[in-house]
Amino acid sequence: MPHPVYTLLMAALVAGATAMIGSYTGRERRAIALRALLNCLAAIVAGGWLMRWIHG
Amino acid sequence: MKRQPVKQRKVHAALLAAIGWLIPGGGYLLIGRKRQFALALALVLIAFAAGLALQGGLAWPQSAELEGLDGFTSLMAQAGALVKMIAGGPYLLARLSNYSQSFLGGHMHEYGTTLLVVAGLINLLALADAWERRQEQA
Repeated sequence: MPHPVYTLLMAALVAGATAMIGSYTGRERRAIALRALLNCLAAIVAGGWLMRWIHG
Repeated sequence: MKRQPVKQRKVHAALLAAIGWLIPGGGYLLIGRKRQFALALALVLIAFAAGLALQGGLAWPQSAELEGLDGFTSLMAQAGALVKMIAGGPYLLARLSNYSQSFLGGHMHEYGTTLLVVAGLINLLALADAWERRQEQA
């Protein structure tokens, strides 16, 4: 499995697990999942940029 | 944030733990939270199926495989194997259908092994959350 696909799968699983817990409405859960997914994507981009900056 | 209006039934703690382990997210089903159950089931099945497809290691580490490792690393290896068991039904089905990637073999396919651990962790999270929701109703 290509690394980016695997990373996206893990991000989606983390977002889903974050939205799964707690007492929220369906709309709130969707918002939590979306926010978690975007946070993961931002962290991936930031980490990737950092690695590129370190290794050149 | 608003509370989800869910009609909850009083469920025995042992039953919740047993069903929650055997059926991923089953604890939610027992307390009447069907959407959370569906989400937990889907997440665990996706992670577990992807883990198997990527040939993740499911077997308990043998003593020969742990030889040469320090105590902490050995403990972590066994904890990882234990967490995979928490996936419950999918884990049992994989074992019964003779899926046999060894512990060391799993280390050579670490993407798959990580996904199997994630499946167990998600089920553990679902179980703990269902337990907490059950406590709320008491």
